[in-house]
Amino acid sequence: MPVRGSRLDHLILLIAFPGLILLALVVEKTALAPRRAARPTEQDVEIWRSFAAQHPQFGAAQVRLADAELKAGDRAAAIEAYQRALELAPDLQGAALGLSQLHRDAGDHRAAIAVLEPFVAKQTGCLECLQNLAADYLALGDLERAASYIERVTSSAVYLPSVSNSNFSFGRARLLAGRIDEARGQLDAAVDHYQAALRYDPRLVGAHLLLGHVLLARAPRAALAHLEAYRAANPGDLRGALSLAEAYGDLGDEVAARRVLEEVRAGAAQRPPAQRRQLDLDAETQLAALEMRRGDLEAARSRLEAVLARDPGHAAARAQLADVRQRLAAQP
Amino acid sequence: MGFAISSDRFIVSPLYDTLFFIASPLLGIAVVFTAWRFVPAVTVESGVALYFALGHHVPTFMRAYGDPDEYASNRFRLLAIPALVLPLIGALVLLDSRLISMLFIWDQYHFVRQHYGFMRIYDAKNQSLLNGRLNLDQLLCFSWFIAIITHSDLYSFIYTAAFTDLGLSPPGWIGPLLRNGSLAAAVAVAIAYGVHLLRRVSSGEPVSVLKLAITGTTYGVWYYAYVLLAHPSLSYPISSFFHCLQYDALAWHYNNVKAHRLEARPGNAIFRYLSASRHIWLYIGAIFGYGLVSNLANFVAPIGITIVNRTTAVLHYYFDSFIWRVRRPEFRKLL
Repeated sequence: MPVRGSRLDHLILLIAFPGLILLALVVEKTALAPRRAARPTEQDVEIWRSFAAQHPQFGAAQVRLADAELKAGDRAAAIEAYQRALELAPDLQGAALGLSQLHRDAGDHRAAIAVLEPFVAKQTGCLECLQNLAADYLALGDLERAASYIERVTSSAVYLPSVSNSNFSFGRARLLAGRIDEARGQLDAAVDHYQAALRYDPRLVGAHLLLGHVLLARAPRAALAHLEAYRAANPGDLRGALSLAEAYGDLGDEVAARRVLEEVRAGAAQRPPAQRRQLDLDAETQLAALEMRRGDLEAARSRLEAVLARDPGHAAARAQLADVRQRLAAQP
Repeated sequence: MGFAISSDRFIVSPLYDTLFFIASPLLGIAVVFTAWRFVPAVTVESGVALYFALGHHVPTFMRAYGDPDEYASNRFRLLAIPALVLPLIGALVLLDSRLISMLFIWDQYHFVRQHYGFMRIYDAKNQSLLNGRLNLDQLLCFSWFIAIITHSDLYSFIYTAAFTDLGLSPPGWIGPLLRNGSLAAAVAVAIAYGVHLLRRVSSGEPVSVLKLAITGTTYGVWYYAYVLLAHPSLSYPISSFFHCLQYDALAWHYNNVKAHRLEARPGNAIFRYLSASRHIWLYIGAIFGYGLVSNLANFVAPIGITIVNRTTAVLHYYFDSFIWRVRRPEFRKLL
């Protein structure tokens, strides 16, 4: 019965093949992933230190060792391992990226640039390096250089992330390009980049927030749609919720704005005291804006004065109060 | 017995076999190093991965679905398995499973299986049939490959990183144990193979010189690329380049021969058209086209194209395990 035998083989294959993969997936997610998360950083250091000792000429091992050292809090050992990796393999992008990131995380963008610029002069294909250079120059306020580096990334035609073992994504590069254009005042170009980032990777929900901010004054309805999308995807971000409330207010939907501000207040109650205070003051300021829009200038004034009594440096409240007083003075 | 090689011992012709099969590992080194002179290593890596590694999935599908005989004899598997693999790979990618990275084990396995396939073809062309209880060719292929992998800084690193990232912590002694154990096994198999070869020669049995030649170039280049060079961005492209070149060249030749011998019927018209000598540009275009489409899709739908690329890789590995079996009478007849 060859046909029957063959069908039985097929049936076994159809059950065994997905069954094994699903079983492996369950094991990974329920047993291995928690184990990986709970593994002490010192154990990672030990694994990679041992590996690097057995393979002393292999630069990539030094990068993993440096990453582990950094996680374990030994910055000096991490720098040493990254530098050793670059000595062993001068074209190893993981080493250049790791060492520069270490400086970037410490706020030293110039040191990060000093690592990456000589590296990309030879390794022109390292898009993540170019992107990080753009971010460094943006942080330093050198918008022209930031734009020139990010342009090299966004105009690149070849990239295959699966083999380079890199965290680079064109979506994140377009987000950065948008931020640079926004800083240069080129808002249309910024909107294009943010929209491209979302098309590229819908998981980049931060693009909705950035689009909401850019579009708020120019296309409030579109801004509202993006801010709503951001709020739905990231309900824990109360700053995003404040932006959404502002958009509702701008479009005259006071009920929705108040509802969101109540959510902000409720959410703020769970936050640390300093953050809670700031969110509460911002929500109060927005409530005052709603009252102003409704024409209830006296209520707005007393609310803003209360905010400034608690935080005399609150810039938005100060500006709004000046506006309210001007309008009150102009009333007959 | 002599070592003069008549042209019927070659799969296609002395020139074709030398260029695309036997010397292609050396060509891999030449191409990758030439490219590296002009562009950075990561670009070489991306280029080979895109236009060769991904592209060589296409001949598998052309053969599996285009050849009417192949399709008829494997219809169930050719329809059911993709329907299973696509959602499974999709789930693994979307759930960010580290299991996906384990695909490289199958990738390496299919490299070795392809080389073993060439050994079998050259044996068949040389009338040197397998005898004895031990399949020494297969033992040689795997023991040498494992010894190379365990002595490679690059692959030791890749395996250690993959298992560590998965949540396993390989103990420090495992590396030396694997290196020593695999080396001992490789040496033992090499001695047994040498003895077996000498016996065959002394008893006048045919020995395929071409099989030994392709084994020498393949394993020599693997040793060079993985152990001596061990470059994170160049070693794999060297190996992948010649693997793909060998595969694409063999698949083209086989389909071309088969298309010539097929009786013209409407059911096989597309296969005959695509496999006709004058349409080789379509074949090459399809291979590079898949890489190009993947590259372009990577700009607009990276997750979607990742799922598609991984799925075609798995299907390529799996389909190859049955569509190219050398023991099949049709395969032997056409080659």
